[in-house]
Amino acid sequence: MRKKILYSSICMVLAAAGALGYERAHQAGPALPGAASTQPRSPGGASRSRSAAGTAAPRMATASQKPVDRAAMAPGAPGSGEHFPDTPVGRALDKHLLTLVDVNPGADDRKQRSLEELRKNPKEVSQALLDAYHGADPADQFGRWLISLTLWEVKTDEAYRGLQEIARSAIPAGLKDNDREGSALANESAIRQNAAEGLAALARAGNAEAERDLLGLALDPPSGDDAVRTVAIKGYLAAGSDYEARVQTLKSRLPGRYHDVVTLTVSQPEDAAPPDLLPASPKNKG
Amino acid sequence: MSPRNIVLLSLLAALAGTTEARADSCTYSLGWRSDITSADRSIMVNACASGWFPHWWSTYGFADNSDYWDDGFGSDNSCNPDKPLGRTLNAMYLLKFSYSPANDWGDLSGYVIQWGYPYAGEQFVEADGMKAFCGDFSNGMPTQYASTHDSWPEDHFEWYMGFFYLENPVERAMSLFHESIHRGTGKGHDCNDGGSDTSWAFHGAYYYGVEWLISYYLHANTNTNSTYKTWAAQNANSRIASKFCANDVPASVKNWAGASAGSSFNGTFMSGL
Repeated sequence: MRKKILYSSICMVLAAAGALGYERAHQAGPALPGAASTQPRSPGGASRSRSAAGTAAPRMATASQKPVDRAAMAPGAPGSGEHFPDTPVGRALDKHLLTLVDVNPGADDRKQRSLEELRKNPKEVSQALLDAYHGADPADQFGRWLISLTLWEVKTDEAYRGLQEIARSAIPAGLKDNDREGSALANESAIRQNAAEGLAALARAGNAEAERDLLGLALDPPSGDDAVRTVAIKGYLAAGSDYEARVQTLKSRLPGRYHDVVTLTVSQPEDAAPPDLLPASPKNKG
Repeated sequence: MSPRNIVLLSLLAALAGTTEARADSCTYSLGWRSDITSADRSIMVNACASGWFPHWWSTYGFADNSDYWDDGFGSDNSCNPDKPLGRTLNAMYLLKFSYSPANDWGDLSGYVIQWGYPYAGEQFVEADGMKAFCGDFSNGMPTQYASTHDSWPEDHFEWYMGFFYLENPVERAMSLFHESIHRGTGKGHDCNDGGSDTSWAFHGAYYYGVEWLISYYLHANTNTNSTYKTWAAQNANSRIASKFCANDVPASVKNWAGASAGSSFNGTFMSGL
């Protein structure tokens, strides 16, 4: 009997705590729609965050906790990829960036036609791209990635200066790269991979400065990014007909851990099989 | 220990377990990433017309959590590419329809890009827990993206403003797949404070994420273009180079066709365009 009373007390306490939890959540309800978006929050019910193993404290949830949020769109037009000045070349570049994100049939053909048009004004196009890169929000990695991709794909020596600058730029310190906080580092890497690819294309076409840059990036990329290094290694190898000599040059100057990518041989890794599904759980009804 | 003490301790434990849950409000701007806005609007034309949105809404954990998707998150118009729900469903659409013909439900055969959708879909259906939040902000910009919560009794996915507005549509599709792997495998990121996997051989979410990106580059044949394929290849390369603490990624993976996209990509994969 004493045990029964004890259990009943615990149940009542838990029920009361649950109700209190609801009340607390409710009282801390949403502010007016459109309010400034700087309120850090702690969503209830988090039991294990995959994004920061070892840092998320397990917390129990109660059925009554529903901290639903409110979101409002900021007033004003969203813009439409307008990175460039209101000139014929600027407008062509804005249109080109829209084409890059188009997935409708024929998009790649339209992209090629657009590139051909851009190549008619290589100097102005290259300068506008570099200016736009400089003027972009540093955190707008997708926008900067599209600009660096275009600098590569326009394939003109006029783009060399911009490609060199971007490929050799350091990655800002402190950027995050995890589930919870996004993939800033990976996207900064991709921006520089574009630039290294652009240098590789110019080097294959005979640009000696681009070739020297690739060797420098292969040996010591200022970004410290090994994906950029790999692109540079392969770009340097492809830049001349003396393949074996280039392999030896790189292997003699690179630490051994990089030797396995000093090749232009393309491998075909096996496709991954799906992970085994978890054993039956009560939730999936066995 | 006396019953009184036990009751008091229980009360304290219960109060400690009561999280300071509170709802937030936030404002988002389509101008944060205007190129991503353009991309979502382009994809939404086919995504909405596919007729799959009502199915995903009702069975993938949205409907049973509908209060997380109203009040500006888009449940009033799932085909609005500017709202969090529309952007999530756009990503779901790319997860399923970047390869044609798409695998049927339960068919885990073929390329990663083929089985990625039915695998992820099974996780979403079983969890029945898709929840949208504002998340953390810094200097007016979102800093929080996604997380999976799968320790009993919790079983849900959380998506934040960073996921909706700072990730491009293909990136979002990859994130859906990546988080589903966490739930399906029960594996987290156990290295570099949750920023990396212990090894390639561990076969965690970064391994499968890389494999999905590689597969996307090599095999995506619809609702895609060479831009997104290049983006996928480079993001695979970045993760290959940085996300596996044991440095055990095989050379066959490091030297895959997208390791230097410029020297290997010739557009011949683009049969769907």
